[in-house]
Amino acid sequence: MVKVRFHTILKEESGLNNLEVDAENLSELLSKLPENVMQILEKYRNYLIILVNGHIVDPKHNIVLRREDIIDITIPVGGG
Amino acid sequence: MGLQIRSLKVDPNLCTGCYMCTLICSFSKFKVFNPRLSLLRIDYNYKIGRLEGYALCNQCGNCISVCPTKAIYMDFSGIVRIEHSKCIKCLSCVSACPNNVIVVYNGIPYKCDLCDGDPQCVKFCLVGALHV
Amino acid sequence: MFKLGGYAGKILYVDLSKKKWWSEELKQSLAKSFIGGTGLSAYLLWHLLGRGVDPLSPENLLIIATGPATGALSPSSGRFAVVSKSPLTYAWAESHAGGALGPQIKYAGYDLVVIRGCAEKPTVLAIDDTSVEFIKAEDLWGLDTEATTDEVRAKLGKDYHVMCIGPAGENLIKFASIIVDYHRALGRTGLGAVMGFKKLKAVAVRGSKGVEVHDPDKYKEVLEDFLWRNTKGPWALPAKMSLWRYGTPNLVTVLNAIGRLPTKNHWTGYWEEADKISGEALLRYRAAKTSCFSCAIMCKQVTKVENGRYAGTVTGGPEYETVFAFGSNLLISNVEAVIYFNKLCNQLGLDTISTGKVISFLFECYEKSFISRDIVDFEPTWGNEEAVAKIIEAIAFRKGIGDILAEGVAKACKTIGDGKCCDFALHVKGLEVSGQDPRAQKSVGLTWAISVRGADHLRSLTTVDELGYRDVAAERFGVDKVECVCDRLTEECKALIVKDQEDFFAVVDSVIMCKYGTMWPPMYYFDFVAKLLKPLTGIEEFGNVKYLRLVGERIANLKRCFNLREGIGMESEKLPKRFTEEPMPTGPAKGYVCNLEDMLIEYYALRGWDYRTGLPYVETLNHLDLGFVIPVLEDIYGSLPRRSKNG
Repeated sequence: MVKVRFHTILKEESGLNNLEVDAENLSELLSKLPENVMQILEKYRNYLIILVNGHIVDPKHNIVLRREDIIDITIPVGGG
Repeated sequence: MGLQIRSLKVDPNLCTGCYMCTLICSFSKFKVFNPRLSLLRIDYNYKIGRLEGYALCNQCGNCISVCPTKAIYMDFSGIVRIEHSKCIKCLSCVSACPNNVIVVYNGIPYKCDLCDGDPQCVKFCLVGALHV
Repeated sequence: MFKLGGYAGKILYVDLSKKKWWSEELKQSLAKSFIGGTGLSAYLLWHLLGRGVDPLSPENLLIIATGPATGALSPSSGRFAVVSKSPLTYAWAESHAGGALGPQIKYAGYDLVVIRGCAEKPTVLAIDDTSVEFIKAEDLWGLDTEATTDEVRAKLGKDYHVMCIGPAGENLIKFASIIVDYHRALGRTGLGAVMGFKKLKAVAVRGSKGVEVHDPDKYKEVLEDFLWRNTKGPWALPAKMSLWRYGTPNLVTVLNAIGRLPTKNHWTGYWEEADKISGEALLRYRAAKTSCFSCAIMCKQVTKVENGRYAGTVTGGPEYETVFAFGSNLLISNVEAVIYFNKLCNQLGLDTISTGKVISFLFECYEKSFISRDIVDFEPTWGNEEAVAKIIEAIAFRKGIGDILAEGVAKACKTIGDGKCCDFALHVKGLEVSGQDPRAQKSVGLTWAISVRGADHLRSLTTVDELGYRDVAAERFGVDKVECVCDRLTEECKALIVKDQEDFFAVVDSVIMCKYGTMWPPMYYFDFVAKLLKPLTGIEEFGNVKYLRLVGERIANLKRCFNLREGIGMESEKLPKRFTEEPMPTGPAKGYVCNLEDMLIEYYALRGWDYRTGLPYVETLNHLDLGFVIPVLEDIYGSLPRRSKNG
């Protein structure tokens, strides 16, 4: 099982803070997300930033996931 | 067929106090950035974060009746305009305006004419507080 | 006859000691060389402030600065700057604030206001077009910033905009702030203490003149572009959904996700309770969505706590830096307490970053038994909200241990714990570190070390590597550099991006535009500023990006030379050991330290400074038309280095 965390507007619109998902790679994980979440990710697809254990990954590369990995999905944030 | 009166309206709850409407107004009309020369007035309370007061031309036409040279008229679309070639700068219109939104610039009165159908203040209001 | 667009063409000089004021024309050649804002202020500070002046003395200057874009509907152009010599660091001091006061200075007919001397009694300086008045303010002395602003506006007129100090500035707390328009802060470097020493309680401004531009038709095109970038451009949605929606606290949980949320006095960069103090959590307390003057990003809010212990708290913000400083930094997960501390600091007039950091320093001293319980009347333990409230008041009024903390961590650590706590007094040049961590983003280490203010997050902080914006990296630095630029965990390529950002921000801080739109989102860069400045001012050279870059270099170098003149050089460009020797203990950046030296060597090379001596090459200064600093620096340091004939 891996943990998926949603940030900012993705969290707000999905109503979800985090989810536990049983997935072995990134594609499998994304396919197992609830329908409403998929719709929200689709809405922001041009802006999504995905991190695995704090490192940015390219969703085009099907990253292998290990147990207890943390996947963060956000749109760009900034400030200081 | 009745005249459709078009005028600026504001939703005060949406205003954030950026004042970009007043700046683009004075720039569009007078080529200078000066909120005091804007043909709409915004009074934003930064302490509590609320639009406390505003004044817009609602094209009421009060200024038409007081103009001695009939320089002020309502056009076919319901916008009240000042024909400056006829204006004698008596400024009666300024005191007649119930919203105090006629601005005097270099001695000449000016009022909101909705920028000939493309109101710049509405365009620069990114929160949609201003509309026609 | 001053003919440039954007500028007012005048500098107002005020002598508080003599109660005199006069104005002088702004030289067009100076505008061309230094733009305005902090660039122009750097030139004036160099020439008008003697070397070695005590920051808390009548001789110190307080410069209130606008740029040519201020008040001209330029993007994010409601901000202004205040420049001085810092009583906290004895180095270059600048702070910027939003709100709506900056444009009023321009509308009153001035580009800059240069204040010197000290009033005999508490005074309010009121500027209204051509009139400048010194108003007695003994009845205001002692009031907090909210009450002061209310009183000044009631007395002078509601259309005045006010910047003022609270008790902290009056009591010369070394990190006292100046509060603008109730909620905006000229936070860092102790400018509030400079005003307090001058017995200048407030400056109130209103103006009725306008700002004209050189080429209105071309400028209109720039405005259309500005509109497009904020409504339909590639950064419009991220700006709206992040900064607009949540304000700067939009950062909290994402920074935590990359292990860069400073926790427990920067012991680590990951906190399990980050969610509780996030932008999303703060949204529940939103009372109003608000903006600075002339800004499309609109990242501000008014926040209110309705119930509980802090019921009735109404405050502007809190900003991300305050959320980290009083939240994760102190292990306080009650966001209502963070909101309350924001208000307390703003009303007393204290920099929230420095205040949070002196408190976390104290907590760590206590945790490690360097101080005993009996020296304070509260338990200085992590997460103790009551203790924090007491310490803030103690600092503002210099009571008990507050009197020591009021000097800043660098000095406080020499007293508290017999000097054995200095390893966790986290500062550079005496300025307490801000809400970043160099172990989780290596470029931060360099930016803190070389920034003219000290551990500063606004003079050259890079975001291209924060979340890896590859397109931006490719465009600015070349496709071949994308990998190393975007990898925040390597020291490679970081000197390149920090130096570039420092030059760009030197221009941004002179124009003046906000960091939102320039630092993040990266909506505007040199090319846009060139496109803006030429039709605005009529200065042909401003339309040339190469020229603008040169001006940025010139300004960045002059500020660095100011510090050198004050004896603050390379030996101050160090990081606390926590970041270079203590591997990040937890979180996604676990195990990393920041290796500063290689980045510093590379930065010096890019800057045209000699790493061996810590001094600029003569050729660099001459190339930047800063020859006037050479004799002054050579008088102090001996001859400046020259590049060898062999390169």
